[in-house]
Amino acid sequence: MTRLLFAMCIPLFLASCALNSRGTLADLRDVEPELKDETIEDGLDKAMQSYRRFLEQTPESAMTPEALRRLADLKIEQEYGYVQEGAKAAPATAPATTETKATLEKPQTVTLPAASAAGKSAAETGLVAATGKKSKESDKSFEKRIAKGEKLPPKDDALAAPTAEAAADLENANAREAVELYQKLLDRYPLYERNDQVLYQLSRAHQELGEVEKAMDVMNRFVKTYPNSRYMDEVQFRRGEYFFTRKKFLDAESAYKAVVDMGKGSSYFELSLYKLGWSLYKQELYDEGVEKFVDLLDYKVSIGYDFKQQLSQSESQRIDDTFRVISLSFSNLGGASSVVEFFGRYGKRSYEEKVYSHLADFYLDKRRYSDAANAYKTFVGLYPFHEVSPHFHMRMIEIYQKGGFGKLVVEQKKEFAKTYALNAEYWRYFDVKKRPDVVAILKENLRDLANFYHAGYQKSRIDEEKRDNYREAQLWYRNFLASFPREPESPALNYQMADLMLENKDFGDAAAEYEHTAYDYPAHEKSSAAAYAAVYSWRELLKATPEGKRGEVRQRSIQSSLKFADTFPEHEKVPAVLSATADELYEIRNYDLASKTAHKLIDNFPKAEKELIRSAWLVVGHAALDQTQYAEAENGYSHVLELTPPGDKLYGKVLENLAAAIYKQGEQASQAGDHKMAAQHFLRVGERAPNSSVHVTAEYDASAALIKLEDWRRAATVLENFRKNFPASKLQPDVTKKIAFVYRSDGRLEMAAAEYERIERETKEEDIRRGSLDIAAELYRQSGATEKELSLYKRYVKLFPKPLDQAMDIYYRMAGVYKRAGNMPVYKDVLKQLINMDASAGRARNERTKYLAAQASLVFTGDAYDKVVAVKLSKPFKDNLKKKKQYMQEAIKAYTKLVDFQVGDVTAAATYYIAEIYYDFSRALAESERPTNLNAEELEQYELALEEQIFPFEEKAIATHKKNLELIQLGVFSTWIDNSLDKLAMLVPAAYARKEESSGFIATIDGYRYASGQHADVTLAVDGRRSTGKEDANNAVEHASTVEGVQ
Amino acid sequence: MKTRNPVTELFVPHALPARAVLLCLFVLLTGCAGSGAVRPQSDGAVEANRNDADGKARQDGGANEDISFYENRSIDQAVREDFDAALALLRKQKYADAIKLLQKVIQKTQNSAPYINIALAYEMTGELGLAEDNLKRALAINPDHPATMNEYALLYRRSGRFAEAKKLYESLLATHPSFMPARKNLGVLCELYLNDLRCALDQYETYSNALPDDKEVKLWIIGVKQKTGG
Repeated sequence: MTRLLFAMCIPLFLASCALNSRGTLADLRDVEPELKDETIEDGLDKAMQSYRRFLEQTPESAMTPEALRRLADLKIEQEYGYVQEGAKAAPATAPATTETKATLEKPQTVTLPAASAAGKSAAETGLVAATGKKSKESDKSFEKRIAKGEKLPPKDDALAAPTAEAAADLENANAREAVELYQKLLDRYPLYERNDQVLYQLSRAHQELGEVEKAMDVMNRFVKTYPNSRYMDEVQFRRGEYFFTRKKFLDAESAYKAVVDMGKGSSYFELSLYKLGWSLYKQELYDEGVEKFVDLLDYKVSIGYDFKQQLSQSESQRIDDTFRVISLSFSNLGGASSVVEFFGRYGKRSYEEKVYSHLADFYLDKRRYSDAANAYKTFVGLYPFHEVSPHFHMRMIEIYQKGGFGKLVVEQKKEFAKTYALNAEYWRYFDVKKRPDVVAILKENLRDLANFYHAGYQKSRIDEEKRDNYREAQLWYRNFLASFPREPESPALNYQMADLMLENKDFGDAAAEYEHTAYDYPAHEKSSAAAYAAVYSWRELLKATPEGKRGEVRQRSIQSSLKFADTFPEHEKVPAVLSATADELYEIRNYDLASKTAHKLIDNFPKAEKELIRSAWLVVGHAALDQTQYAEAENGYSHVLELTPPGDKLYGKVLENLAAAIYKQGEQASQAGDHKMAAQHFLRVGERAPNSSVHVTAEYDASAALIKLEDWRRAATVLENFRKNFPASKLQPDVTKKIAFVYRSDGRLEMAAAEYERIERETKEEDIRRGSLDIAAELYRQSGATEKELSLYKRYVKLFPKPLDQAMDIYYRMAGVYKRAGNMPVYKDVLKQLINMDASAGRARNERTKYLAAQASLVFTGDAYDKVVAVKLSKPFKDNLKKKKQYMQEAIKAYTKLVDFQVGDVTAAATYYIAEIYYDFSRALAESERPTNLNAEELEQYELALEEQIFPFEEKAIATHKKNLELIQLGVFSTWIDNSLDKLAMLVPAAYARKEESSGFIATIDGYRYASGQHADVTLAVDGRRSTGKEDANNAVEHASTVEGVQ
Repeated sequence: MKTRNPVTELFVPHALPARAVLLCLFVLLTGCAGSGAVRPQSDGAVEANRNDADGKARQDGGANEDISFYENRSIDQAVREDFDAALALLRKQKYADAIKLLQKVIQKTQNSAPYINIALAYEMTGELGLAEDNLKRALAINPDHPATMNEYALLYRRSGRFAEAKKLYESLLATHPSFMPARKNLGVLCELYLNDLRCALDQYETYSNALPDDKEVKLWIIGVKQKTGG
């Protein structure tokens, strides 16, 4: 048979017996002995046989009582399987190691009851977590459990409460034999030195046999006989347990007190002190009982017990039980106030808070919420700066919550928030960083308060209540954010606060808080949503702001929108926000930024809704148009049209704007003098927007630009098309004029003339009609279309016989036509008609009629002059002389008559011709045919005489030409005077031959130099009679203008 | 930013000794370095060199000063070639062709010279109105151009606008007293058309002093004196 047996040997056993070992039977219960698996066949039996043989075979000696005792002990051991302390002497059960002895010295571990399933105490787990986790054991059960006595080894149970089964079990021969052996020993050896031990063992044996009363008798005998026995504490404790379980609390008190009085050296001290407290409690001596319990706790503290780090579950249970009975006691004494009174009297304790917390839990178990909260409140009131006070405060709040005291919960949360706010006095005693637990609670409270009032605000139906809730919610939100500005949850709280403000329609505040949430925290999951909400809030504020006061709000709204778009381009609302912002910027005439914003949308969000893109392009177009950036405007409108179906209402309007943008580009180019570009733009209006209202004007202006470019052909094409395409245009008359002008400028004179004729037909104003006919006739003249020219003159004088002077002008030109055609009779007829018209003009006669009549008359006097010149003084000399004189007189008379017209130019001509008649006569005399019958001398005389005849006429001619010069002083100057001067230059060169000096052609395009002290050695002939003649112009280049050294 | 003075930069009057040249260079350099030391001159402005050999301002009214200046010089080579070709046509009396070519030139650059030459060409063809139009444009580009002013005054005289001719001559001579053709022309105007013999005599004498080798004008002086009985 294999059995577990302590490896021990008798010498060792004996040695152990010699020691003052104080182990008991109960010691073995919790001992974890150092065991060896060793097979010893029938070890106990052999030991007992050994002792029995010793007693039987050995004469009675001093060892006999010892052998008797050991044999009795072994029997007990064999019966119940454990060895009492006395059995240690037995060789077979000798302890193997010192560790075993050491373990055995911890009686409390032996005697403590098995650990309950109770969780940690509230103090250990944190008060907040303690609720509901405490043992469900009722006070009654608790007291009942205590009343059973301390749970000793199974064999000891008989001492506490003997039962029938136990009694039956005790029908055991070995135990009986042991009792007999112990009794025999006491009887035969009354002076045996270890009889206290024998009595002790005897009482144990009785107990094992269920003979409790006998055991008590033995123990009572023991107490009386061996007051100083080393087994006294255990025996007294057992006696105490006996009395306690039989509710003989006074006796129990005495027994326990005896142990306690033995002092802390007893291994039963702590347990006895505990049971002493209970004994007093059971006698309703609560105050005294509490004192014992507090003594027990003091003792625990004194031996280094750490309430927070219990190593033993059973010990923890007992401490917990101690606090519980203390709570029961104080509850009976009057609650929290009695605690205050007790410690006031008994002195403060380091674990005082646990007393309060247990008391609170005690009340809480009984749903005495107010008392429970009051317990915490009392402590917090006493020790506001105790490290657990925040927890107690919070516990108090939880109790109120549990009790359904909502109002109190809120009040206390607010109180908590004030008391432990990060700027509160509490933190003068604690380092915030070392109290994350408190900070966490504070944070939670602030958040709860904010949420509570926020929810209250949402539920409120009464304005005043709503206002109050709003104010409170804001207050706590702000408190939270002020205390925890950089916590991970801060952005979310900030966002909630902004939401609250938005709900309350405090749009400005909401917007500011949303912006703060969006931009002033590190990126968080609500950043972009907050940014968008800010934009939304600004816009709501804008709507709510009266017109006229929106400036600042609008600016903020725009700034927020732009920042949102820049910061969170991935947000789905960015395109819409950019679109709306661009619109607003345009409305406030910030065109530049409006355009940039619109471009931001267009460039960065090409996949945005088509409508948004179109709107952005519309802003680009409008902004550019207002900024006179017409090319950009055209670009914008072009894109809008691409995105707009032709049937859309917008289409036509945008098309108009597009046309305007293009047209304006033309205007700009025109103003800059770039007519080519202007024409291009004007013509593009028709290409891009042929149905636009500005098309007509653009076409017209295009022609004007082309005219300025002198691009006659294109101008003509544009104008001709205009005439065809816009027949109803009011500009048609002007177009006709332009066409006429263009044709004329292009050298298409006859076509131009036809246009002027058209003008005359299309116009009602007489002046214009007259002018048009005039020009048309002139153009026909220039183009050689004489018949058409003549027909127009006739039409003219028929249509407009008045004013007379203008009609006479036309007649005068008509005369010119006939003259050019060589139709001299008609020519002169017309001239005569002119003279007659002037003569009969009456009051219509004026300078012009006189001039024209004078000019006409001059033609006829010209005939007289021609007749004079035609007559040469040749044979028959006298006849010819006579004829010439006659003609001279007639001519001079006619020219003199012309002077009567008092027309300067004609007078000058008449004067010139009169002078020329004299001069002609002098030349005629000089060139007259000489007599052929004269000798040399006579001929010389003749020449001299002739010379004398010639000279006066020459002098007369000079004098008459000089007379012509006098007209200059009268304000008259004409070519006839210049002709006279030329003549005088020839006749009197010293006085009149004066060559003016031209600068000549300039030889260098970009420079000029005139050298001092030089003059033009070849003068440009501006007046042939006083210069080297026109032919010299060929050489009259660049003397004075030659630039040296340039280029 | 300073504007370079093209006149002082490039032109060194013939009469000036090396010392004056150095002075001009100095003026140029200080003009570049300082502020306003040399008056910036826009294209087309006329600058007569008024310094004598010692660099001091002359006291004789500047009758012997040279006149030289640049106008816009940023001209394409092709435009220059057109201008030169037009000049050749003028020399060959092909005025219409010359005018057409010069009108092409003025599309590309706004300088006085092509306008003056167009005006002279029109005078040759007797189209005084067109001549005047072009002289007006030339004057608009450079109101102090002596050739333009002289031609314009001659045109005034030919069209009987003697007072305007005289005023323009006087203005020209106030700006460019050394421009002798104008002085002679003013004398003729005064003598033959305005009958202001005193004026004529003054102009002829000034002219003759400046150009003593011109014997013809000396005779004119005698003629005027005879008219005045002097």
